[in-house]
Amino acid sequence: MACLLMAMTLVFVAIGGRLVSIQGISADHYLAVGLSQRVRTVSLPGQRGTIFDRRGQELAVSIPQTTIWADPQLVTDPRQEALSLAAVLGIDSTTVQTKLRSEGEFVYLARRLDNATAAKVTDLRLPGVFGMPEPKRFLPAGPLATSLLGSVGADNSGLSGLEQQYDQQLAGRPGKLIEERDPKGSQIPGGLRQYLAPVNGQDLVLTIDEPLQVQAEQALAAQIVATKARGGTAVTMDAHTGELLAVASLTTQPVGSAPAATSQTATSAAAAGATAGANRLACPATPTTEAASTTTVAPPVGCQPVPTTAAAAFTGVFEPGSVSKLVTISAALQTGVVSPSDRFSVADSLQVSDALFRDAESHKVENWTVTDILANSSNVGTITIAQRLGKQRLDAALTAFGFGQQSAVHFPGESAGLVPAPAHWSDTSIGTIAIGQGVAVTAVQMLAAYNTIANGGVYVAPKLVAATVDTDGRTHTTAPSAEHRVVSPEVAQQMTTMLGEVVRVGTGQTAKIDGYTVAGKTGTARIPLPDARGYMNNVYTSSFAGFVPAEHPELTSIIVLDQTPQFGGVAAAPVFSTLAGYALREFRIAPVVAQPPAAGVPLATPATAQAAGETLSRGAAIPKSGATAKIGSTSPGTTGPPARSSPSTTQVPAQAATVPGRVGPATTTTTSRPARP
Amino acid sequence: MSAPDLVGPARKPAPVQTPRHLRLIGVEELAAIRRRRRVRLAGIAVAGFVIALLFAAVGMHVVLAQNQFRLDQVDAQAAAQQAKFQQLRLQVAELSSPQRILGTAQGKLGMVPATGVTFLNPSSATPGTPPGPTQRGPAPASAPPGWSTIKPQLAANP
Repeated sequence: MACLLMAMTLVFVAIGGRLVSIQGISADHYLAVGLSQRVRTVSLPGQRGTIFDRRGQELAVSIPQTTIWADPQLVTDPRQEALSLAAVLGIDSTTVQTKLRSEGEFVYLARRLDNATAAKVTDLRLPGVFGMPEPKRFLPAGPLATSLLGSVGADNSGLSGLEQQYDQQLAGRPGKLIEERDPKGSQIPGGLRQYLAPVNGQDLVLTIDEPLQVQAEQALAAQIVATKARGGTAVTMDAHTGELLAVASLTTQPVGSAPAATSQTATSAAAAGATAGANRLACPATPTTEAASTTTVAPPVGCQPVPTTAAAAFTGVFEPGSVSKLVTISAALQTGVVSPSDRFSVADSLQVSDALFRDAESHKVENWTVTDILANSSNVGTITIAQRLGKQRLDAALTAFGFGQQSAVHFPGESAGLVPAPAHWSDTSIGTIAIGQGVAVTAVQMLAAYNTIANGGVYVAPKLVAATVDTDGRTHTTAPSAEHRVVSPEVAQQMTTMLGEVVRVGTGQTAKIDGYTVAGKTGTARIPLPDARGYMNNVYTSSFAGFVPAEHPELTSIIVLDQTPQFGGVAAAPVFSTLAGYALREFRIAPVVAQPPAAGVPLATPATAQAAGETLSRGAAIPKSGATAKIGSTSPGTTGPPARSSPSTTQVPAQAATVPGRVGPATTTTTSRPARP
Repeated sequence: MSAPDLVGPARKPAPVQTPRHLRLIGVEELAAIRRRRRVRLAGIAVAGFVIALLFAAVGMHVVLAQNQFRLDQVDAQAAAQQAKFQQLRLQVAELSSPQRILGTAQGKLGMVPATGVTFLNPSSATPGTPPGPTQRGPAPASAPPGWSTIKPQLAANP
């Protein structure tokens, strides 16, 4: 009896001790264990904002998908559950089983499943296996404008393009839900429940017009193939507001490969350099050195146009060539050093310091007006005017037109271009820079320069985002683009007349649009070799920039084709005609009754316009290199003036940074008549 | 003979000393009795109230559980409808993509782009004035109509 009493006492003491341990000493621990078993914290993702085009069409949208996860501590039969899941998810059952046997309380099984597959998993009703919403970024229009939109990563953050630039606005703030649930996953009535609502991201309304963007990419892609180019850029802008309506950046790559950057991108973005280099190997199109090769350009067999990884219109730089003559002539007219009716004796070559500059075609000494010089795209005539202008005023004009600085868009990786400061100009720089060599610009910069003339002499900063829509659905329109006057309305009108002559009778005739008057300028510039001195042989950066209707400009466009054997008047101007023609119809811009030319501006004649410039019939031909080469390594520019300081200069890789400084521009001009119209 | 005949003449029973039920009590004793009675009544009332309260609590818990179940169902329905809306929104965006329409028009229907558009200029138009439609150039950019109403509703469901 005493033993029994003793035993019972011990039992009660043990029970009491355990009770004290559970309820007193280790109470917090057991409380935590209990909570962990029934309290679940669910992260509620804030939905990433939508990117709309200007018509409200979704270009990028986040849609919640179902991510399947498991709490291994709640899984009852890992093997059987793994087999069931593997069959539905189409993955290896061993992998799933390993995850289900892991130590933690959370493991991903499959992320962002489509609804049908997620429903199948849910129907299995497996213990310890759950689903949660996780947004996935979709591009409803496919690869359209992807180089502009950029991409998002697995964590839903922007990695490139507008997704990166506006990540702070687009990304929402995640919320969370803390609640007590029973082992079956049902909420315990009256249990703990704390809900912190997620905040959706803001939407972006772009200035881009989706149908025009489609047209731009299709027209550009067709011309890239037709002209055997390595890539290209097409940008269209609203002449009054600066809104960019289409920004197409394409490159070529082997069929089936991942997108890569164009060589334009390669010369400006270090990150894209390696990709472009790989692409160059995959789609060879160019001979290496000028002296070593007389071979013709190999067509990029098996290559297809695809969007670039970065929008080359902002990130890529190129030596513009003759399209840049707009700046020289405008500045000369604005400062009064020349008037439109002034006549110049223009030979087909001109000695500047130790360099000999030539026109694209040989011709006798002509008595040309400024209009003739522009319509002919005469290098000699333009340099003559630039010499009157002087380097300080030419440099001021380049700055006023927006060169050497990032545009107001500040696109990720955007280049400021490369414009050497006057202090670093060589003796030949007045010749090279006047005709668009020795400087590097982005397509958007050149577009904005032409738009300045279209807009009556007022520079309008390019704009890409029209509005944002906040969480509550309120629309906030972005501020109007900044403006500043560059040239007087009279000079803008004179330039418009001259540029109209370029298209009417000059080198840009293929840019004509039935019923409309087009004003614009062609450009054909040589391309520096990326890894050596000298220029690529027989391939050019061919471009056309202009606006329409010339009498009352509404749209400004630039077309740039990279590494094409054809000239700007043949390669780029037809794309302008196609694209601008479509835009005129789409935006219901009717023809304007023709106006007389600006006062005091003589018109060009077909005879003079084609005397020195490329003719349309010759456009597809590849002229041989010139024989004269008097400058080069001896030029003061050899050492390479540093690029004008700008924040974005550091984004330009070394090979791009050497462009203005290399002897190239001058050498090009003297050895092979580079700055073709 | 019947039994009653054997009984002799009835005798008058002796008077029984019955206790006296009525007595005079004092005021204090009366108050105490009343207090005890009130306490008993209060006790019964409290017990009844507690029992009723317990039943009410159980009933409320049942209602709570039922409503929680219904709330779960409604939440699930809301989430499903939102997911359906988002899917349909994506589907509409894909179907209205100009690239898809263009591909269908040209690839399946054999349509070709218009080669040109003829504009008629009113004779009254003066040189330099746009005689075309009232809307010239791109219309102002904007989000889709009604989006400001829809967007606030598109929150992640708990």
